Amino acid sequence: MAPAPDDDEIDTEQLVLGDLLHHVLDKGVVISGTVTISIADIDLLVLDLRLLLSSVETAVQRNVDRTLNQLSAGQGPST
Amino acid sequence: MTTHLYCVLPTERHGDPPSDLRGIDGARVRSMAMGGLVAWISDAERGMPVSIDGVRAHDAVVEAALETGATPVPARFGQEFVSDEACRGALESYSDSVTTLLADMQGFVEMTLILTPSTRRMIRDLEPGIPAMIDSERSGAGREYMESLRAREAATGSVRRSLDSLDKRLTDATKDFVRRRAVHDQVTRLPLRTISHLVPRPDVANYKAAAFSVASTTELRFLVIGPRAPYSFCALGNSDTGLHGMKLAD
Repeated sequence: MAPAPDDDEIDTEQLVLGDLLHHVLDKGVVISGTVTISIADIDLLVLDLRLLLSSVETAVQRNVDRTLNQLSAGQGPST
Repeated sequence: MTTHLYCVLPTERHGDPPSDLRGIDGARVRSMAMGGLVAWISDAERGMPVSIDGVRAHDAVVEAALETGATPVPARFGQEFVSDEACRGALESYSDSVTTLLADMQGFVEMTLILTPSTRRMIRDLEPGIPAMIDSERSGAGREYMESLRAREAATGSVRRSLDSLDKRLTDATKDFVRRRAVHDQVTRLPLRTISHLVPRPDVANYKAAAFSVASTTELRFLVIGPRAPYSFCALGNSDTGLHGMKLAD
């Protein structure tokens, strides 16, 4: 499928789905997979393996923090 | 197996769930009466994974409860208990708060406004990151990079001011029908804004008409979602905000 033109409106369906997830979920939900909600090919929401619904920025920061903690503890970063 | 909690309803206005109502993973939804309320529950696999289908199924059950004419207090997705009795115990431990909340919500529904940039191009322009099309080997690339960041910051600031303006116009237009307002945390770094309003059921049509009387701008548009169960107004007096449905268990 060809990508939508940049001047297209953002998909209403994606916005509605993102809103539903945000309304019904919050931190503390245990999940077993990764779901990413994207709008205009930009990842907005990431559900990752570590109990959170967060922005991509927060998820990335947590990964960075975890890696730094592992390094400071003398462990290698997990893969 | 565990017990998954969808929502609670006031007993006096409600019977059993529709016999064909199915919840997460197709499980039959059943009721559990206690005190002055009834909980809608189903069996669920232990450690149930989050999935979009699961979230939609959870919400569909809550929506079915809303269609009874009563207003359910929805549970947050993932409220899972080892047994029906454990679920009953958790509800009983918050009995006063749940009963009060349930009474307060009767006659009301939640309407949600999503304010968003109008086009994909706008979102791309606002996306933080290293600007493309800058040749790092070229003289002046560093200055060009900093200027592009400043331009992006200015664009973001402009959109945020437009968001505030549109928010105010929508607030003014709908204020006669709004009993409570909740602004959701920003879950993205992009300027999307989600505002939830608690609205009397009879005023839903007027609320929508008032909202749609506000014109979108070239920069921004808005969606009106609802009526839905009052997910954003479910604080039980514990440490939880109550912005994502009732939370009884971790």
